[in-house]
Amino acid sequence: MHEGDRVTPIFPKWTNRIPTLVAIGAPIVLIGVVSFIWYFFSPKWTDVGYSPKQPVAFSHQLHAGQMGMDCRYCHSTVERAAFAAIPPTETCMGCHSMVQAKSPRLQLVRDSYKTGKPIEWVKVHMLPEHAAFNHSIHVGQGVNCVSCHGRIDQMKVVGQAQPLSMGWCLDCHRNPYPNLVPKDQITNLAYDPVKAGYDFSTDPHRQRKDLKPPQHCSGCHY
Amino acid sequence: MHSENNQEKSGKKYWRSLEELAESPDLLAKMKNEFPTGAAELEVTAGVDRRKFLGIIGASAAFAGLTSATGCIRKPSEKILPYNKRPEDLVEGKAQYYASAGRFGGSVLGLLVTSYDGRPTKIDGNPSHPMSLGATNAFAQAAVLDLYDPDRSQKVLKAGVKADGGKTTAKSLKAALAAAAAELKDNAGQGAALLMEAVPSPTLLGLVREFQTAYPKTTVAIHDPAMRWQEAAALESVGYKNAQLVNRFDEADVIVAFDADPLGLEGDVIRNSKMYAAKRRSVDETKKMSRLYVVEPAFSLTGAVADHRLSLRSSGIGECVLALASELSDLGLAIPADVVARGKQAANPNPKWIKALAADLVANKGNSLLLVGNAQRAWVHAVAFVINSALGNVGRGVIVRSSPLPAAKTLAELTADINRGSVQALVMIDVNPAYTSSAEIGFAEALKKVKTSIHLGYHADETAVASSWHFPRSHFLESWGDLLASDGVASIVQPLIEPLFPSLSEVEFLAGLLGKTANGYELVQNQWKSTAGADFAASWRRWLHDGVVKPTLGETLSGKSDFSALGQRLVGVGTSPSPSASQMELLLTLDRSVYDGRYANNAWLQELPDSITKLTWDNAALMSPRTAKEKGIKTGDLVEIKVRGEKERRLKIAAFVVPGVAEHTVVVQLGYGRSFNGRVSSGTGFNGYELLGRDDAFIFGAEVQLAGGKYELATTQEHGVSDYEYDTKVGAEAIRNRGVYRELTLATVTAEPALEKAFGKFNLGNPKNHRTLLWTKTTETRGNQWGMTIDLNSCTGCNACTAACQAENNISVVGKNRVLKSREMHWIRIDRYFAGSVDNPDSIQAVFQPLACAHCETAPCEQVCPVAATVHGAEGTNDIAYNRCIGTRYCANNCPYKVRRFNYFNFSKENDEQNPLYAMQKNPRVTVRFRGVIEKCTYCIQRVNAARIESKLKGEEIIRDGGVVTACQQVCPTDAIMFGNINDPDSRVSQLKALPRNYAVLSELAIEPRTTFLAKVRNANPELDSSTQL
Repeated sequence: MHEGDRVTPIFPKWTNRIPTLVAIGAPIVLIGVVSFIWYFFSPKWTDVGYSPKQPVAFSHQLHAGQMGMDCRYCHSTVERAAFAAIPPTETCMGCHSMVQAKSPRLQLVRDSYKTGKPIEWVKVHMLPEHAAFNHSIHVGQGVNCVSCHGRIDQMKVVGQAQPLSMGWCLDCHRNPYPNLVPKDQITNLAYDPVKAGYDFSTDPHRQRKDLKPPQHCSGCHY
Repeated sequence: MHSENNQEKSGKKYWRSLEELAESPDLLAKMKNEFPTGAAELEVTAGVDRRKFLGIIGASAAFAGLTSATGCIRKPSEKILPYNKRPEDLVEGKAQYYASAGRFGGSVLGLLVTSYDGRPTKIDGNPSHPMSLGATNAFAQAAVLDLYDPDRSQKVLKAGVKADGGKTTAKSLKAALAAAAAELKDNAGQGAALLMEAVPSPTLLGLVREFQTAYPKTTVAIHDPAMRWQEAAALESVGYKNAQLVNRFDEADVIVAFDADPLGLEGDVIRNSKMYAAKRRSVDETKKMSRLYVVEPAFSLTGAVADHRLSLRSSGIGECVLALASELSDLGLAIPADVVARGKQAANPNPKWIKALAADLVANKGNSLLLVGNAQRAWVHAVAFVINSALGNVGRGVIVRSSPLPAAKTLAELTADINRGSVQALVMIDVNPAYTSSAEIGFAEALKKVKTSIHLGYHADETAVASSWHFPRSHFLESWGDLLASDGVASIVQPLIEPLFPSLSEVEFLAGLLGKTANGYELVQNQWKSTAGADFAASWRRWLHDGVVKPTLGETLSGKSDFSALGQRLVGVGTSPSPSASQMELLLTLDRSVYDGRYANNAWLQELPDSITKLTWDNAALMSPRTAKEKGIKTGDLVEIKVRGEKERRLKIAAFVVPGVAEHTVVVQLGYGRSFNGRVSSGTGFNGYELLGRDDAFIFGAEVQLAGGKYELATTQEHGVSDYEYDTKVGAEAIRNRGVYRELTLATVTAEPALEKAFGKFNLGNPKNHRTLLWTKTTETRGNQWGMTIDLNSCTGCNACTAACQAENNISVVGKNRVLKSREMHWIRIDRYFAGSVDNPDSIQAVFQPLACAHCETAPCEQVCPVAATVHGAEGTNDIAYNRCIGTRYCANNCPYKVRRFNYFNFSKENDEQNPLYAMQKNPRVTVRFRGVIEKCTYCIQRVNAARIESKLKGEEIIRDGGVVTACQQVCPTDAIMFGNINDPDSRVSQLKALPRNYAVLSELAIEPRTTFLAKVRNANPELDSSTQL
């Protein structure tokens, strides 16, 4: 080796900047990954907006929105049971034996009524099976349908509006009062208790003022 | 130390097994283990070694990764299939309740059946029915699982093989029934017979009469272990024809049971238990309670709760009753002279005992009750009836009623008829005599001689395959029927579901054979039209709704008893010889789990630990420790029992040494070892019927010998030991009794200050004896705060709570091999302790303590859970979030009561795979648990939540007292379990907790359990037991 020869560097010069780049970049990437997972792995992304195609193109916008049918006309068990049951075919036929009686879009409904085979609706709001949700108590205490289901009356195809995650449930269980409406406004999806100036504590029809929704595990998991 | 105090001062020592009493090294080693046997071993399916297992694990992990890559985008979509036309009154997902009735162990119980979306899931007692009074027993609880038994008969069999190509449909079933009816018509004219159980069903018995009219040469025979032949014969001999006895425990202050089990397996068990328990609980208010004396050859439930128990072989019972009669006559009671004369010569097993008993009976004239068991001969029943009459009990505690059953022959008489050739056609309704009878009678051979034999049964059992026709029977939850309780209250049996498989109910079957329409609904309605009066439709609806028919039927016989023929009856009665080591006495009894074998294919009942032996999945030859020692027999040894009869009968069976069995007596429970190969019943136990003789259930002169070899018996008697601790200070690993079970004598309770003193011995509430509280209480004190009391004074150890809990909470069955490893899943177990001296069988006592999660306020389990899966609820419950549990089992290890259960495998999935219909029984309100999670009693939190929702909807903040009834509380035939709000001083549970006999198990740990116990009170006769020990 001769004096003055310069040793060819093994690494190019720009590599000197790597530590700096790593120092700056790693936290950004880390935060990025965490945020990515935080949002995109959560029901806020995975579940909200889920609107599967249904076997019958039933439009809530038409029935509940334009025609103003009450939710409970079809989902009649909502005040009595854990489930807001999907109506039996005969409920559909109550009107559609006369209205749109020949419409090809209702062929499946008529077939179902005739053969007794149920219509296979696709479930939209899927709670995990270890979470016991009861519609009757929520509706009974004055939680508007819109709080969990969104503006169904504006949906042509029903989609999930809220994440329905445990954190989201607990937000309301810790402070349910912003979601409370007068009992006669339960199914009025457009009702805004803040705009209407509703004060639950002075509502004469409300027996229980201090709601105390359960926040312990066995309130929902058993 | 506190523990020493407990042991020294509490006086009585309780032990779980003989091994424990002897402080065997094996048991000590077991107790030292952190986890039960085999917990650390890897158990994989047979044929898969460790290496292959790891391979499978790796592959499945890779697959899991693949699927989750797609799976995390969206969970799989689900379908909702609504009703097409929703049935009236049905609300999806809401339970519906229907009144019905069933017959269990000879007692008709009014039932209230829970159904979810058309699927029956749970059976409970109907509170307005006089025989159930809201409670049931383990048999009734498990009956719902029978409905979903995948091995139930689904096909018509002709000569033992599947008829109509094995494709039985409702239509082909009808055609086959018509064919069988035609065959019957051809043969029945020359002599027919009807063989059935003693079912008090008016519609069925009406059809039996029609059958007799259609075929005048018809013999009716009854084959039923609950049939009280001997009692009926005894009643006939004193002037009551076709009569039966009904007992009223609420009238009795002194009860004497001679080889009878009115609180366990004989008669109206539930009603007897309810009334008996009420008479025991009265101690808290009136300081008075009934006294129960029992003389028996082996522990029955009645014997276990007795205040005084005399251990005596079955053949000596009659002599004992005679001796009592003579003793009573000496005390001035009017006993017929010939009975007294015979009584003077009778072998008195314990003169002091009998004397004290006689004095007690005389002091309680008219308020006492003598009972004699089904195994005893008619003359014993007759003598007991004489005593009852002389004491003035007849009409009070003992009521004579007419029996609704027709005059019938026994199976032995019927078999003789068949052998004589006088029976050409045999109709068998829900009986299985080919299995449930003695070979000596020879029914199975005789059956072959019958031209046409038509059998209706729930399983294609031993009799079904030997008959010329077999028809599948519907479950009582699938069929219309009616049943008459022993006090004359009728109930309509109402179906909740269409038959799962084409099948016939008893009435449809018999009507079909008579050529009538086989429609159960019409048959039952026609039967009751005359009773209803004017408005049948309204009455019918009311009966179905209430579950009881008004007015009651049958009559109470009040004629005068005639004892003149009694002496004649006693003429042939000789003194029975005493058994010895070479000539033992064999006793064959019904089983508390499988009864006579009919429940052998019911997984819940098979795994239910027997009340006394705690055996699961097997029966055994029970022997007393002294007899076993004499013969060199140990628990688990295979022995051969030989009986000489017309032919020599032998059985190889595993021995089980248990205290309380009379000396030189060997007891074998029937109902196991069936050749009918069900998924559940196959390979369980030994067939005791092979030893059964022609006449009695007890046989003198049995030879019992070691047969060589061992058999593993799965008993749970040493599982979940929490009542001892090591005292290392003593140097040796001595075990110390911690006063887990406590009892008092009535004398202590009556003397108020003494009670305080007595309980002081247990260091109750003495802070000095409490360990330091490690953490502060987190429990809130507002709203509902749940708590429970279990009254040890009422509990009869009947296992109904364990079965009810299993039905309510979707608890898995694990199988015998895993019970051997302490892996049974029962949330509430009943610990049975013995007390007394092994060498003195009369001193042995058995006590029961139901134990489930006690929901401690400072729960040790919660402190060690690394993932906060088990935490405290706002209402004082100890909750588990199954999906959080990662299966460390730290909580189970830290639980002082050992009540937490771990899913070592996916038991629930295994159950469903093995028995595909079981899934239909599951309670939809309770999560089905997966492998790797801990589970335990939740205080029926699903019922608490349902009640909370209901009360909030009504605008009430607090759930009213009685608003939540746990499954164990609901089923309890003695109302021993009370549940409620301890925050409300007026709630019933608070009032019970305020009683002086309330105590907490292991209270010195300062874990403050929400479940507390009420100490047992023993009402000892001062003549027999002057000790005031605890």
